[in-house]
Amino acid sequence: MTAIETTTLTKRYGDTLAVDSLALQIPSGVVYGFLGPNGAGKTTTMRMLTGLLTPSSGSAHVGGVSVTDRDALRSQIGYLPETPPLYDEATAFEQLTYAAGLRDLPEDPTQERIETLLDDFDLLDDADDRIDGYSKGMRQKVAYIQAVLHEPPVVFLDEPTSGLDPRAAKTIRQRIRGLADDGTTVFLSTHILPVVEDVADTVGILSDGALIAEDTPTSMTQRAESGQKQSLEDVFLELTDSEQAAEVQPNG
Amino acid sequence: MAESGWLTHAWQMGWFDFKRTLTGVWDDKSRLAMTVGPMVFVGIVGLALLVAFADELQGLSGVTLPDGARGQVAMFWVFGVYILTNRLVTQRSRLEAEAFVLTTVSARTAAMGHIIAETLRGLAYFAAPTIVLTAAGFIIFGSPGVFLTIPIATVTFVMTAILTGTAVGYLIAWLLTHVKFIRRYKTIIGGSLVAVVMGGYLMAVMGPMEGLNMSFLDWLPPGWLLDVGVLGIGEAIEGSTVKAAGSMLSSALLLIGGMVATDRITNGYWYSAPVSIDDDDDPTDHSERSYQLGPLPFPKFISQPTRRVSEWVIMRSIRDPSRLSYLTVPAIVVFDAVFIAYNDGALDVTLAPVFAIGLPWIFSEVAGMNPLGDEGSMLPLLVASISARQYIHGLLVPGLLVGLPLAGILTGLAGMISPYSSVEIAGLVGIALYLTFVAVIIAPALGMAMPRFDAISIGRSDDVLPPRMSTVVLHSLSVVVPGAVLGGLLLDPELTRTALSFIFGGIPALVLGVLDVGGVGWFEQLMADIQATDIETLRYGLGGGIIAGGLFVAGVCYQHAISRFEKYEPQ
Repeated sequence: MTAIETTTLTKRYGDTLAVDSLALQIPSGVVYGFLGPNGAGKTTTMRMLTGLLTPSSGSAHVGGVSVTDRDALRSQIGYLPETPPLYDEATAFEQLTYAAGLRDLPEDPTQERIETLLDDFDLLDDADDRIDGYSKGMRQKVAYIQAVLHEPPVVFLDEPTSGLDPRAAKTIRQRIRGLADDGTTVFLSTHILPVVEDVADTVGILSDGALIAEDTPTSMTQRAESGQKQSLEDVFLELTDSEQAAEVQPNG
Repeated sequence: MAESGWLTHAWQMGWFDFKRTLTGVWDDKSRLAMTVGPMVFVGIVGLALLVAFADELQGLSGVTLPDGARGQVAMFWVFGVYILTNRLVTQRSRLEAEAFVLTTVSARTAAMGHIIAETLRGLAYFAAPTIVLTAAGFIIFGSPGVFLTIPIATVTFVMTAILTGTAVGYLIAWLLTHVKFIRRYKTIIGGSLVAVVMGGYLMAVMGPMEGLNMSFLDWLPPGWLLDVGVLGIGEAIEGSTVKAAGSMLSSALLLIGGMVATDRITNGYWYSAPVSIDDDDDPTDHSERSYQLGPLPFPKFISQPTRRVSEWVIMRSIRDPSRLSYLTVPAIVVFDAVFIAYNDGALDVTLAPVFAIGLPWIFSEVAGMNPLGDEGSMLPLLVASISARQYIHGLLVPGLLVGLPLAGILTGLAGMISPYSSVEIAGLVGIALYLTFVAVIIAPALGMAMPRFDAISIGRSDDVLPPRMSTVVLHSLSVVVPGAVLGGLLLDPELTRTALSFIFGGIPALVLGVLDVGGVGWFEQLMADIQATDIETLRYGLGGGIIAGGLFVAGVCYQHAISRFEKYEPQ
């Protein structure tokens, strides 16, 4: 079953083409690593797929729901934007209880799930402290829990390991992999390429709003012109170089 | 320790900040109108009055400057300091792009840059009336000295108010973040302080000892700046040379003292973390935690998402009461009206009508005046998590479920001690309920139509700011004006008819007459027509029209707010 499907998805800001006829078909239960240089259109794409931005043309469906139908889309997605969406005046426990309430989750089992998740991320002892005193990593962890709390079929994560220490980053990576193994589709945007190499089933590279490559990480690292295996970083740099990008066709 | 050339850097920072303000005001036409409009209005009215009374003013000779005038200027200065202090504490105590600024220049440079920017804003704001006053002073009194003395007095007035407000503001901001007791109980302390200060002010202004005489403040040196201003007029109005010199000396002390204090306080304030107010004995029980999120017992029949939004709106304001600083104005107006009535022995007559209008005004502005801006970084998640209808209902519930009955009950109780008939009391209660209902519903629509976000996107782009002043003013007028007309039509329709005829016919006719631009006859006829209108027709026609119109506007606003949230695309 296809979790995310876009057809000629396009976003224009005046004369600027931010996303150009994007075509994606992402099956359920995979981690899709979404890469691209700064300004390539990754955030715009994520915002369109989460219903926060209306496409200029084309269509997109997430979990079988059109992204223009915000009401139906809400139950299908979890979203962690680059800036953790948290209230400074709340404690972590209050923030997560609030987020659960907005999604109308049953109170008692949700409280237990919140405690479990907070414990998993070593946040339980700080759960009753206000978020304005949290470190960047602690905020990121709370925001991650908030994105997956309602167990959505599709999760959009924008730089989820940003600001995390190696142990916490590893926990998040394991969690992302675990989500996919349990059938959740994870749309992962990050600049930390080893994370993508580690957890992604498929990698798509966006440049100037267009998808210039799409493949498994293994195939992608072996497809370089030299024929020799390279790191994902080498491939990324090679593909996003403007002169070469025009010569490479999307695969898949 | 400041870097070399810090004064140049401070000037660059202040000028850049000022230019940003000008650009922002120019780009936002409603803000432009709200900023420039009152000053242009004051300038035009002042000019009209000066032209109208030019002959009398030219005939003045040897008039001694009264102490009451000095007191009035001093009161204006104190009010300015209060506004500037409040503005700094609630909006500007931390630097924009703080990490960048403090790793680039010294705290002294940043503080002086702020002072320069505020001074430039203040001078720009008062430029038009100052020019009008100076030109009129020269034309009427024929003394070129006014070109020197009036600008000097104005600039000194603005600068001393800014320096004092800035230093006091930073001191309060430091206390609020570095003294655990104050940080924990800032809502109670702030509220009590405002009540004491306002009570003291009102007692002083209207107490039995002084009556309405403002001369009790004439000992404040900023009021003596009036003596500096009139020095250039010549012999027409005589001020005190000693007080003029004293005001300049004390102003110099205020400026230097303000700069030194600001420098010292900001050095400690910006480079230190606020004290924690988290409890040492953290609760571990779920029910206790849930209770923290629900300060008001919203009934369970309200859907959970809506209830959570309502609870959080209240909780957020309790934990960060500076969000509601804009409520100071209606609170002071209501307090002021009640106090004056008490002082005049007319509390029984005044309290119920004041409650019927003032309580809806206050209750309706607690939530929803800047809902999109209030969410800060949570806004994208919120849009992706909750339906528009549930969110808007969440904003309306506190006002409709708590504010509406409270306004009705308190108005009714006030009516019981009033001399009004039971029909009139019921009418006042009806006005309170109607006004609260309409005002609560239109607030989110106005707040979402004119959202306020942090203008700068570096570093602190997720800061929460108070609503736009234009939103607050528009909403206040939407509540107070119809409320006053309805109250007037209920309790004293003849007086209301006279007031309406004067406002819509008399004042325009007067102004047009002074300016001699024609159209006077039309407005005089309008005044006569309103006066000739039958009381019952006015009462039921205008009153019914206001009620029906208000309900219609509320309906439109409700739909607009939902549509705005549904279509909202975070930038």
